[in-house]
Amino acid sequence: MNHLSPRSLLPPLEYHLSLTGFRKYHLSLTKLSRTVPINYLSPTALTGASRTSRINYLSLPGLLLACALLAAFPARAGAYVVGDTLDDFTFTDYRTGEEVSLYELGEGGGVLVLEWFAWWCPFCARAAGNVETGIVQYYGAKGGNKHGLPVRHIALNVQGGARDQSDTFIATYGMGTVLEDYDRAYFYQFNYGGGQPLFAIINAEPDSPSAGRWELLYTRLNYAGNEAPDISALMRPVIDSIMPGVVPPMVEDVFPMAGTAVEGWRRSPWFGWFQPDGFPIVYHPRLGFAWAEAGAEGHVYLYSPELGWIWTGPEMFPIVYSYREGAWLIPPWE
Amino acid sequence: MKAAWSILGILAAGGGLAEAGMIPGWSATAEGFLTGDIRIMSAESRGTLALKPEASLDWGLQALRQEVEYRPNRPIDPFGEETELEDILLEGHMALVAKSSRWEHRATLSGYTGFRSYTALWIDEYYRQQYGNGGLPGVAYEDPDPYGYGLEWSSRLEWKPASAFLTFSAAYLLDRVAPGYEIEDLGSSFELVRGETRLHTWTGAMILESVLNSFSRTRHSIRVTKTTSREVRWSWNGALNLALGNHWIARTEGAFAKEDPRFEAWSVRQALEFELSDGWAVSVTARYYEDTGQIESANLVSSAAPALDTRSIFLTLRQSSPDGESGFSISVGPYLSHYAPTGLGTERFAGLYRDRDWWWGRVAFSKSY
Repeated sequence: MNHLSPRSLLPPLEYHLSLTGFRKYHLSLTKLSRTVPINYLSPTALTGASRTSRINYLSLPGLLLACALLAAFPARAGAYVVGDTLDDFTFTDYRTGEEVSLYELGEGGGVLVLEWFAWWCPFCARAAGNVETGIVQYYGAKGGNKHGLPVRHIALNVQGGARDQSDTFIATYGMGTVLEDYDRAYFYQFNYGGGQPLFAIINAEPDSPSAGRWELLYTRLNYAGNEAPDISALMRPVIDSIMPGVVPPMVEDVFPMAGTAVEGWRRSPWFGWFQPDGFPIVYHPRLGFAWAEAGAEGHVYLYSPELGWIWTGPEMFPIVYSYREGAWLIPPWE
Repeated sequence: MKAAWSILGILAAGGGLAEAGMIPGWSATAEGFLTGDIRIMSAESRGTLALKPEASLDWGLQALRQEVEYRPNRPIDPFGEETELEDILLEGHMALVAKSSRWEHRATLSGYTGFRSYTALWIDEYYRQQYGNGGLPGVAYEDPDPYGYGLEWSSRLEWKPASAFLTFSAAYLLDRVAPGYEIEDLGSSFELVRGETRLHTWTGAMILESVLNSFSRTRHSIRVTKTTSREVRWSWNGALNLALGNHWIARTEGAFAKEDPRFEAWSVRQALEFELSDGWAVSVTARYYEDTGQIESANLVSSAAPALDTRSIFLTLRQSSPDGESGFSISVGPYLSHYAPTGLGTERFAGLYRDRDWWWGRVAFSKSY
């Protein structure tokens, strides 16, 4: 019944290479080491079968064959794999008909959980009920993930027409944000094969120490033989692994009165000239390199390799307090 | 559907009073098969008209009413609605029988209209609720009008006078069934496709009946059946009837069927009858059936039944007139059906393929002239 699907149009080797993201990296072999198979949490991946198979194709004849095949099937290029940074993509909102982009949906940060569905799909129905309780209600009750980040569920409808049936499905499973992906243009960026539901988890949190912004964290085609009875249980650890972004300190936070830069140097009324290129590491002509952090009431903590942690401020500099020595120091601070 | 066929199998097996043979006569049977959410009731009449000393016309008519409380597996079926289903199956057959000294030839024409089983009725309702509102490219759901007809020829040879009979039969059946539906993935779109609506079945059988001695006789049959889009099914059926003294009769029956790629079914049946006085007899019958589940390949939803086993036991009280020209019987007993758990593809039919405890009862009357 699936004889016209894109998957069946591709030779097995080409399909495999595409699925494992080789196409995306064939000009950047250094990234191959960090590619992992799609569905990396699936039982197949745990056995290492996908990884082993992919590595076997990295011989020279394999590369040449792959390039030839890829040239023959350009339309199928570019499937994302876990670890990739996603490009922006524009959707049509199912309810309003307005355009909305992926980056807009995640501009508030947090974690995005994408779920592709079709109203007639029994696997989608089973998964949608599971996700409604296991993801949407679960994180709704907790007010975010383990670290307090918002978790936003986004449903993508792959079946156009039949509005009544889609409405029933959406209402039954309490779907909030619903987007259209009727031609599966976005679906195919994650999965070449047919079947649904497809899930993807994306980190939208900027400056998170856990993952890059717009990084694909997880994807799974929860269909037929690959169907997980509790898809939410598989996704929650991934969602909870994302920590809040760390806002980098600004020069003004530490040296509020610092003047504008002059050839890379800035001047504080009390600290004098310093070079903040690698802020919070600064270069001071007398102190050398030091790590600068703001203290209370305009005071500053500095760490220098020579002096260790010191404390000073506008009314005392160049006198500093050395935590290593437990004493006040005056220049030359020895 | 298998449960329904098992039911029909029991009914047929117990229908001895309706077999009038060449003796002109008439019989009537009423039966009921009841459980909490399904009720099946039937009335049947059969008769034999003598056309000539060596020829007769057999006929039979049956009306079967099925009532099903449709209960969808709501958590995973957003379009499922509870509803009451009803259908009446009408069946009839007519057979021309010609007999010579050693041969008996029988040509039978049969036909029916209506759902052959409550499972077919249930499954059609599922598809109606899923796809009856349109909205998908491809075919549209159509209200089914199941019917069928068949033609059978059989020849029975009295191989050894009054002790061995050999029967050959061949039949063709056409069934216009309620089709299944499926979603086909075309890459950038999906469309609804319809399954087979016409099933052609060819079947042939060979039956050997032997009277071994004054107190025992056996019957063996081998049947080969080929139906559209399916592999050949082979089946065997054997029976042994033993007279145990003047009052006891034991009837043992076994059956086995196999169809590639992975269907197997078998059953055993044991009846023990005790003759009381004045034409009265009482019997108890136990039956066990087991199979490996129906064969079906589907992309999304499979209506194929999972593995089934059934157990039944029933009591029969039978009375024959002193001249043997009329008879009466009444049977009643429980029937338990147990399905293996539905799989991921068949979970939507969990309401259909669930364990049920049935009660079966039958009343039959026959009269010959």
